[in-house]
Amino acid sequence: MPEFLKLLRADLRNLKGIKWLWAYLLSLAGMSFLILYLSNDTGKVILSLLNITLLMVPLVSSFFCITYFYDSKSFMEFLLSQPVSRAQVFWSKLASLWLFMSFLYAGGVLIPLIKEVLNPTLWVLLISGVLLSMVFISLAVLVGTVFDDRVKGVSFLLGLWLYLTVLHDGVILAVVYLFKDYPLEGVVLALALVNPVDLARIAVVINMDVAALMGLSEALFREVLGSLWGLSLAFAFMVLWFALPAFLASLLFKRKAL
Amino acid sequence: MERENWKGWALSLSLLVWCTAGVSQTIEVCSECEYKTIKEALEVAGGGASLLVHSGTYREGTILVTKSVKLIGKGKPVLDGEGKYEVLKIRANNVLVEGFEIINSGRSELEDIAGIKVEDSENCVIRNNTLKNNFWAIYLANVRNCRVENNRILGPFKVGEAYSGNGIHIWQAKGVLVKDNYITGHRDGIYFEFVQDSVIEGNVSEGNWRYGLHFMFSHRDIYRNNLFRKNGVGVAVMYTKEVVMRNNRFELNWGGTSYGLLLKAINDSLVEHNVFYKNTAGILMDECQRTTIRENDFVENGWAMRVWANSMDNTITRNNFLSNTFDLSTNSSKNPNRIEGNYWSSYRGYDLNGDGVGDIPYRPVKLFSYIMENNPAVSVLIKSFFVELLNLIEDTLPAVVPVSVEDRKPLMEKVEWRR
Repeated sequence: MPEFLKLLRADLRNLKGIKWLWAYLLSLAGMSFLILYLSNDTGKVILSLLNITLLMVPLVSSFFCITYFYDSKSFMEFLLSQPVSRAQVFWSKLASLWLFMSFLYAGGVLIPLIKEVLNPTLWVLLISGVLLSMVFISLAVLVGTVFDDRVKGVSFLLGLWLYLTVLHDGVILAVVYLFKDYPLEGVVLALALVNPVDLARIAVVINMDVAALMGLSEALFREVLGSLWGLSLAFAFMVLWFALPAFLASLLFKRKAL
Repeated sequence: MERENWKGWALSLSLLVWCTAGVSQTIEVCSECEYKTIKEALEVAGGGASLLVHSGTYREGTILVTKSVKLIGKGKPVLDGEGKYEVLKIRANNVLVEGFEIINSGRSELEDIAGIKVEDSENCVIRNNTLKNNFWAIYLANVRNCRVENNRILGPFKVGEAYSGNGIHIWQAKGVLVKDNYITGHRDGIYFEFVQDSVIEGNVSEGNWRYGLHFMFSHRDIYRNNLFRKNGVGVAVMYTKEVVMRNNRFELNWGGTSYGLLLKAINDSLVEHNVFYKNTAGILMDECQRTTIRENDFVENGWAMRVWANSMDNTITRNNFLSNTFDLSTNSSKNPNRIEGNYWSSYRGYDLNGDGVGDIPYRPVKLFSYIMENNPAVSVLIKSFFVELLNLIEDTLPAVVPVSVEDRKPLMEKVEWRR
């Protein structure tokens, strides 16, 4: 384990030195400041931040991480000639990314909103954003492990990102529109639960007053989403979403011929 | 000739004596007076007498009034129902109840026990009273020409049919005036059934757990200058024709199934100069016909209006739709109502000929809200990117919208209406 911690420290130090990452934090903070400057209504501020989070976090997390992962491949190969296990090298890389990107996101959102630190909705947003970062980091690392070709990897990830952030909701809408004569609550709920971006959005939205607009739907729906239990369910699914790809990637990485 | 003159004098004199005798019979009730309870005083009172009740707490069970008397409280005497009795029960014409504090009526799951109940009467006046913690507060059944004015009604603040009834409940009445009352903590603030040709003005009904105002079969009533705020489900009015609602405010009725104003089977009515602020739905129209909605402000509601396609021939004109999440939604691709000449804050068209009317029609029903109206499950997509993108696409390519509802003459500037 001490080797793992040493590796983790080295990886974190490495990440700390990347200027672009600090630009990410600054742009998040800058946007939060701007939104705060434009509106005094905390609800509206958090809603705007949610939109930024949903667009920016997956984009930056996934594309930075896949590039970084490809770039550090040769160094990882070198490391593996030393007396450390593959698992240690892999998990320290992934954990350092998780930690650092989450830190950047939380900092970028929290610093301008420090006065709202007791607002529970802000915390739901923060947790959603952090989990979303971790999900897309895991996905990026998984894609990076599966595809050795950089171009293929990045384009596949681009497609995945586009699907999850935008197109998946279109699929839901299309399903509802096409099968409008059937009871669809369960289907829609299931479809929303399989997308981490939707999960993050729903987790924040059900804690805001726009949630009242959802009140039209059937009882099942309200019961599942409109409670602490629903929130925990959403978060649990997001944890699955970053844990599963990470686990899969680690298995692949261990068996992979480098 | 002279004889007849004398007769006339005698008649008018006796009339005068009779009148003054009637008016001047004033009976005082207090702990040191000759009459210590209201019941004793009522027994000796003649028709038209005034009962002057001085301050103190009176626990007399149910006080039954069967004579035309004036009950006047001096220094807010308290009538306490001790959680067991109906406090004041009136079964006579021309009764006045003024200046009392009426508290703790009984509760029942079978009977409508009230703080003040008036039955089968005419010309009653109930004013300047405070009612606290009563099951039903003011209950009028089968009355005519009654006035309920300036009462302060605080309910039991408990949710559940078995704990709280309505604040002002009127059944089977004509020519009633309900004015300047404040009602909170009841089931429905104001509840009317078969109340016709009546005026309801200047009331504040807030924090009632079901409806602020609820009426059915109450034709030709006028509602003006009332405020309905933060009621559980908002205001619901049903099965009525020729209603006028003017200068009212419907605000902060926010919840899963709330609305500012639910119009269910309301025909030939007018809704004018009202403000709908921050309601889940400003107005929901279900099965309405020939009703005019004009010069109202819809501000920051979830839906400004939901107009179901079973509503026909209604006119929606010269309203201001300001910053609502959805301006209008409907459940059918066709909507047989006239929606024209409104101001929509999200209208993006130009007015090149400068006539104050936008050059292209405004389509207030977004595809998303249309799908959502038919299939509420899709509401999980609220605030989704795809939906925002869809709205953008609709603005640029209107052909993709299956809903034909449009405002052909959207106004470029807010309608300035005055009360």
